[in-house]
Amino acid sequence: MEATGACFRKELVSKLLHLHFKDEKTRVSGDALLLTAELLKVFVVEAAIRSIRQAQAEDLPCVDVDQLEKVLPQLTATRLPVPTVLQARSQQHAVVPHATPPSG
Amino acid sequence: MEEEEEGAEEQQRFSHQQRLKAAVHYTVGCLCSEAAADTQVQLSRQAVAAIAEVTFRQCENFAKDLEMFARHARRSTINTEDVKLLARRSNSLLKYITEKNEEIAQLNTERKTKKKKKLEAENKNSVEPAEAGGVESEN
Repeated sequence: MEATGACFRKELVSKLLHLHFKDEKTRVSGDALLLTAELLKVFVVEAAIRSIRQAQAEDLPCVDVDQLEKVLPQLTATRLPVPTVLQARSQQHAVVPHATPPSG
Repeated sequence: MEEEEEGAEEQQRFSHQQRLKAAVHYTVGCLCSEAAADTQVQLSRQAVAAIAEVTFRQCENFAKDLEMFARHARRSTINTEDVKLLARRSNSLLKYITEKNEEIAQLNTERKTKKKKKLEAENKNSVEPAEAGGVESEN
């Protein structure tokens, strides 16, 4: 991918995961933390790039929540419950016009 | 009294979560401005905040899945194989994560061999005077 400087810190990923573990005895290996950080980075970069492309397709100078909302289903599939903020918006216009999904 | 304590604990958990959210927001902000750097398009503050919120929620899915995967393998420690399972749905993502995993593993082996060499060198230096001391005491 592209050369990026920013990434999620190992300690942050560890704390984020431990927030949701059901079993307190669950541990995470250091390498697994690094790999999860990478996975999170891919998620964020994909969200950013795809919503930027969506804004470009709509001839907008700025990405707003609407553009993110249109590309979000490509990223989260069926597994992520949609945040309430976005849910309220999608109820306003029930049919979300989809952009042609970027290839790859 | 008990209720008060419970309330304080709840409050503490909430503020801990808020701090983590702020940390996620910060990193997401950095990544977003990097992604937008070569384009004419800007991301609004609300868009960045929304990506941060979605990312924070995505962590919940990751954590629960990873914990299940490890438990399924009768382990209590999550390893890189579990993370690879998380990325299994997209071929290109799985390939990317597998490559990253190999990179990390290679870095680790390099670090280990360096450490080993360093340790061996240190041992050589420290063993000699110790042996000399041992001989003296025998005499």
